[in-house]
Amino acid sequence: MYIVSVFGHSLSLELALQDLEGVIPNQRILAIPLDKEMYPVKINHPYNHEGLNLFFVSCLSSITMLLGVIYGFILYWGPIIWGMIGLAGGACTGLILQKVVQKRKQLELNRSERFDVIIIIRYESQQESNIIRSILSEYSALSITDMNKGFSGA
Amino acid sequence: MDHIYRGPRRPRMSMSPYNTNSLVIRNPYQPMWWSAAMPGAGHIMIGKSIKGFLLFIFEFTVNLQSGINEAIEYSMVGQFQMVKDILDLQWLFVRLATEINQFAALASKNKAPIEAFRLDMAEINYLNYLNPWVAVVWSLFTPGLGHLISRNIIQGVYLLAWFIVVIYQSKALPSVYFTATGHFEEATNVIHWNWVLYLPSLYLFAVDDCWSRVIESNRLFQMEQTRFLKDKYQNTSFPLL
Repeated sequence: MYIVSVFGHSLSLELALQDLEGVIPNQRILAIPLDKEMYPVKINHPYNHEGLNLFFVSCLSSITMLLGVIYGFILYWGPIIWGMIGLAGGACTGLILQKVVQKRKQLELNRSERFDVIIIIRYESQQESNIIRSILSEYSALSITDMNKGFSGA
Repeated sequence: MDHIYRGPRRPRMSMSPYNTNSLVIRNPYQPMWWSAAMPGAGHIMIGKSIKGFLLFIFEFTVNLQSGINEAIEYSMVGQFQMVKDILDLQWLFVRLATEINQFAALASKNKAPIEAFRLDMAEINYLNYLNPWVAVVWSLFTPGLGHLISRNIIQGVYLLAWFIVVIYQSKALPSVYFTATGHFEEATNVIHWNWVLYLPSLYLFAVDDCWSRVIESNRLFQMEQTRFLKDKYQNTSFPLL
């Protein structure tokens, strides 16, 4: 009889484990952190660890913002507005281009960012199960399931 | 005698209550670009803060004394001059960033310890998960705030101080006022070219730098917590099925 739940890496996960240890012994808790090193980071990798190349976006928008400010001096609305137009325009263009490239290269490094740790807890009575489930949901587990009758193949 | 254990040769990270510094593998063109936009920024980005701070001051002094920003403003041809001026610095950067990358690659292979919490009588620093967009948005309000959120207090205060100097000297706030009230000509006249041209690189550098710092600290947090969980909650006697 197990309760299986999924957590993101967070402080509330450690708080939940601390509370659980007050109810059941440590040996009946199994934590399986999923491997985050699936995608090796190359030295020349242009993307950040989350799969978004914000460097490219901020690079582009700093250029367009600079150009906006420069040409804003001779345009009607002045440097402030043109600078902000440059910033927004550069950021939008950068994000769109970035997404297109990302889609083409199928880089989805950030897909499983928050689903990181599987917690399996063995319980011995229905009462224990209720307490465990309430602790897990109190500390915002991403999902919880009770594998009470799942093993017989029914 | 060779077997005396002295700890890892290359640590993964170092944490003080005021700042976190870590070895990160990153695209070498990232610090190179920011050092082109603002000499010193690349150094700050790869973790050489003191050198970066000094180069920052150097950049402001040289630029203001020689009026390079003005030259850029009068004719875009001036930019080639600037590029020429800092070309040496840039190539130094590719080398430097690659060097740091190699150290980071070496450090990531050995299991260097990761600190999770530091506290002294004045400050607290720790690893925790943070949505990087929170830091980005605050950096867009005021450069430096994002670094304060990610608990990089030294870089945050430094960038914040420069931002205040630039925004004051450039008279950008009166210009914002005139822009908001529709007096576009006065908005153009009141602003100081020499200073306002620092703003784009200051803003976007702060955004990019604190984004990478938050992502890196999230990564460190995950690694540290993974080690903790594997240590404590993977008992071999766990009755699985």
